[in-house]
Amino acid sequence: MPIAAQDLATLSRLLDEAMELPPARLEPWLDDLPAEHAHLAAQLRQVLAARTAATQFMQSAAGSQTDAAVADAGDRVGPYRLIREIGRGGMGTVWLAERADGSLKRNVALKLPRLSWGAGLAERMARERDIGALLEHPNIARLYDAGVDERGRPFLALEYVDGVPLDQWCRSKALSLPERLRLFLQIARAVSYAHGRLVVHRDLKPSNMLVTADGQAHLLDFGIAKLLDDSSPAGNLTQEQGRVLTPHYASPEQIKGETITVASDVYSLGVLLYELLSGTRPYAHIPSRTLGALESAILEGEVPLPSSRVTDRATRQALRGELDAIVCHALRPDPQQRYATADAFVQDIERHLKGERVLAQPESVRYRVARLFRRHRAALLAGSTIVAAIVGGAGFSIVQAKRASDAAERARVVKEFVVDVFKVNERGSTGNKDLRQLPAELLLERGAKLIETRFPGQPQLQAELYGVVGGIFADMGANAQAADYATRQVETLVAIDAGDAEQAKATLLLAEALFAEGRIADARVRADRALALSERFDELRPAALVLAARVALKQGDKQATRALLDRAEHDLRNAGATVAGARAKAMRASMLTSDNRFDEAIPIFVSAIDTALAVEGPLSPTAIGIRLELQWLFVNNDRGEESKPHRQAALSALRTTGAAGEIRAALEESRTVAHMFTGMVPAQISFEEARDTIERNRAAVAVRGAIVPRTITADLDDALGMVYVGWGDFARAAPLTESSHAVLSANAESLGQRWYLASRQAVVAMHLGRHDEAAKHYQEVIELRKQQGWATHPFAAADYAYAALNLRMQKRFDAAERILTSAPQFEHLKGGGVGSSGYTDLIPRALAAVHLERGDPAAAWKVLPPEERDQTSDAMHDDILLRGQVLCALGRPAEGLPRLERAIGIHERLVYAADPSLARARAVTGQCALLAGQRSRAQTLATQAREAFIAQPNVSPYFKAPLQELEQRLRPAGTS
Amino acid sequence: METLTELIRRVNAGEDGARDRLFATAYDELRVLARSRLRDGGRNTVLDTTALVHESYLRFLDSNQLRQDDRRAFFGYASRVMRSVIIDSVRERRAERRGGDATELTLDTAIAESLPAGEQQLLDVHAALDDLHAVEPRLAQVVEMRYFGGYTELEIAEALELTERTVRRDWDKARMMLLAMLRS
Repeated sequence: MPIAAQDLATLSRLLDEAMELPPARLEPWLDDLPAEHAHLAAQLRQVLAARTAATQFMQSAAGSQTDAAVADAGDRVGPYRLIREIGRGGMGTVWLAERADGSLKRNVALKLPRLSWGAGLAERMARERDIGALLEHPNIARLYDAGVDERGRPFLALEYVDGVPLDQWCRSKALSLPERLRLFLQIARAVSYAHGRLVVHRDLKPSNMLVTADGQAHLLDFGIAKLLDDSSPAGNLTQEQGRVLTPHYASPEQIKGETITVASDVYSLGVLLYELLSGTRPYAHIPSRTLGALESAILEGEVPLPSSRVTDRATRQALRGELDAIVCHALRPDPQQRYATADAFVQDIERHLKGERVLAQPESVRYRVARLFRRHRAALLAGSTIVAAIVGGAGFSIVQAKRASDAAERARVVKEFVVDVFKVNERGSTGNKDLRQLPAELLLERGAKLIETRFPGQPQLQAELYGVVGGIFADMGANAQAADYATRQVETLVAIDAGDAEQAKATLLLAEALFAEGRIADARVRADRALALSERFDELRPAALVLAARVALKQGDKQATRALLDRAEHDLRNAGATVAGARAKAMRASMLTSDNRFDEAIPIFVSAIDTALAVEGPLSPTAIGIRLELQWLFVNNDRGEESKPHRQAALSALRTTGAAGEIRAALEESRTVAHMFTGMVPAQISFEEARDTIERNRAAVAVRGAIVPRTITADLDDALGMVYVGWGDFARAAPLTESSHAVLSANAESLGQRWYLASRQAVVAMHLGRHDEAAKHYQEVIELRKQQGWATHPFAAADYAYAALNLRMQKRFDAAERILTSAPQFEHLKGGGVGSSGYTDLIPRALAAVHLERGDPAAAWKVLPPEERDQTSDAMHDDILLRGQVLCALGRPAEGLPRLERAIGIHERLVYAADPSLARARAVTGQCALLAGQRSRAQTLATQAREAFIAQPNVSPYFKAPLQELEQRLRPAGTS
Repeated sequence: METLTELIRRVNAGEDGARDRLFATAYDELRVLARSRLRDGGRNTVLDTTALVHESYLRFLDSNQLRQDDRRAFFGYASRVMRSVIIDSVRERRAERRGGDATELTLDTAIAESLPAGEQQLLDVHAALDDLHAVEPRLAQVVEMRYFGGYTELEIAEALELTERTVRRDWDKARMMLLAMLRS
């Protein structure tokens, strides 16, 4: 009998009252209802009593699932009693349980799935029970029972298998190839058996396969996948607790949401075999920052051959040919093209083992070409809410953007996508700026802010989007922004208590961005955290270890670096070609270099570059980074020629990446060029070329306007300043270094950065006569070298020599001598170029200079290292000058003068005409000429020196002193 | 053809008829989505309106840009549309399957289990909702938005300017009332 309208109103009021009452008070309240409402009592009682039913009523349409059956040890669930929880996942919990009536000895694994209460639950459970009864196989975990208990909780009683997941088993037992194949066959045969009974598994993956101590594999969860799929809202196999896991084992048709067939199981078996044989997953190389990239890759089916993933030669040979073909046959994106049944799969492997011809054939060229065409029409991915969300009607996806083989194309695509989708008029924006004119980074920034405001209450989505944006920034080299969004992603994930793997990946991304930015202390914190989070995950741990090692090396903690790198290499030994592997190699090479073993490091660097290129393609960002490091090291070791090819490759790749890549290229090129000009051996490059290159880069960056962070423009100014310093034009150098250092020192983080700034400031100050200031900086310089762990590296000798020079310039000879004698014993520079011995001789030469200027040329002569037989190198002009001076001071101008002339002859080709040290050298030569009786020569030199000081007056008196003496002596007798 | 974003802008600007045009455009989108989901015969349990609306482009419309009352109207509208589209689809499908006869059964949890896909439940709730609306309009609105529209409690709270707690309470109460109505 339908409830009358006025009764409805009453019912509503009464319910309001009832809902406020504690359950115990309900009955009395119902009894006490006034007479006119009494007829409603029955209905009220029913509805209130079945409040649990009401909870499940309509729950399904609302879409939220009933929470995982809350259970405790000792609970009764159907005919079973729970003993202890043995597993927990998004799909539900698994308990070890026994029969409550003690009727059977065996224990079962009781699965309490999180199923939404929907129509037909009990029916479906019963169906599962029937299916379960069909499957009796030694390698399939039995499903004994399935049902719904009195509380309405669904349960599944499974055979309890005490075993270890398959992949873990293979690793821990280090099984040989044939052994792995045989294990695989166990699984495949079990699957084939089930197929024979018309049961498809749908969720084959190693975690669903346990191996017991006797070496038998057991398949779990047959048919359950289908059960859960039917019940859960999106029916998405890969959803667990609202998180989406990487669907490495999902077949293309599963991803597209199409019908699952026997062939889907074949596909998953193919992935499994791939992993068993090669130790990696087919799509391990796809960066999983976005879901879309992985799914897209699966749909396209471009899979590197298993043999290509294996480092060990013997294994690779064994896999090549037949096994490669078999695996690829199972992994074809089109189900029709795979093995039609698991049985066919099994038979082909058996043929292989028996040595008979297998049926699988390697892909034909035509097939590959056809796939290439399909690549450009990659479909929108169902079930990937991110892609759907962002793309809307725009017609393409981030996935395509990130995979665009031409990276310039990528920048354009990203720009367009952002413009298309976030076509929101920002309120308050002034002017009619055409969105398309703005640089990509600015658009991305807007996009990121929109993520914040547009998706409130959807932290999962936000987190993933932050990750995507951050990743794009990182690839483009905009590190500050990358760090910003990576931070947001991490914070969001922490706030929603996301899984460790997800947090680990995000934290790693953040740590890398911070590291690239130079925020080393922060990077260390995050790197440690990322490492802690990735401990359990074999695929994440190596990358985290390598990054932690890089950070440690930057911080000068060599011991830690070694330990971390060893661990990373250990982890990676079976992984084949990966980005983490390339980085680890590069790290190993960096370490060797810092240990002064550059020659050994070079081939390892090259190998690392090759690996990175193999994995990421010609524009590999990893390869760019390694190349830049390597070219820098070549330059530092005075091997400019060898640096060129790597530098060119890196810069051209960077410049193809778009706006931020260009900026980064400008920076790297300028820094390198400046260093090439001002290194110990001058003239790895000419002054004009250095200056022009940097000016060009400065202009290119200036065009970008306000977008460019100040630190970048400061860096460029500093590089130019350095070149002017090397050239000797301190007038031009000073304003550049001063303004840039103001910005840079505020941001200097790493020891290396601070060393750079300190040493540059020292040199400028010293030349401008600000010796106290210079002294302070030199102290810092030496200290920083020590902290970096480079205390005995030959490069460090220069620090002492310069510090001593500074003191000499103040005539503080004792102090200068002290510094030099306190210097450690420096190693010989290994793998260095022509001027390498120059480093080790720096200290004795500096000491000689002290003695000379103190007025003790004899002592100076004693200390001077033996003269180089072959003095063709330009580097030696300092040395030649010194010898010449000493000889003159010893009263041997005939020997001294030619040397001096030679020295200034070399020197004047290298520097600015008004360079103060050249001027000084001329004055000194003039004095010697005078001594040798060449008055007019002396006069000429004096004039040249004078002109120099007129052009550049504000230099240290040290430079001017010899000229003053010379001019004094050149004055006609009688004048004062 | 104006895009939805543009329409929203116009609604904000207070243009005449913009809201109607917005709703008209939205309607088409919703219909397309609802039908495409319902067409998916494999998943026959629930209509999963949550996922439906999640995938809906509309959701990612910057409806935050709409003023409060416009937004409320929009959400409400979307829910109403979803409801009618879903019911229409269910009726069609049933007609196809049974050759035209859709007998109404009363809802009982026991019987519910043997019905295909909770479709009956949808039809019953749909019928009862109008009656509920007459007595408790806000409850009915919550049901419509939650059950048919698939909006979360937070979104409903924001749209109707209630607290989440109130929304939850309304939802509980509404369901009890519907249960009572459908059992009798």
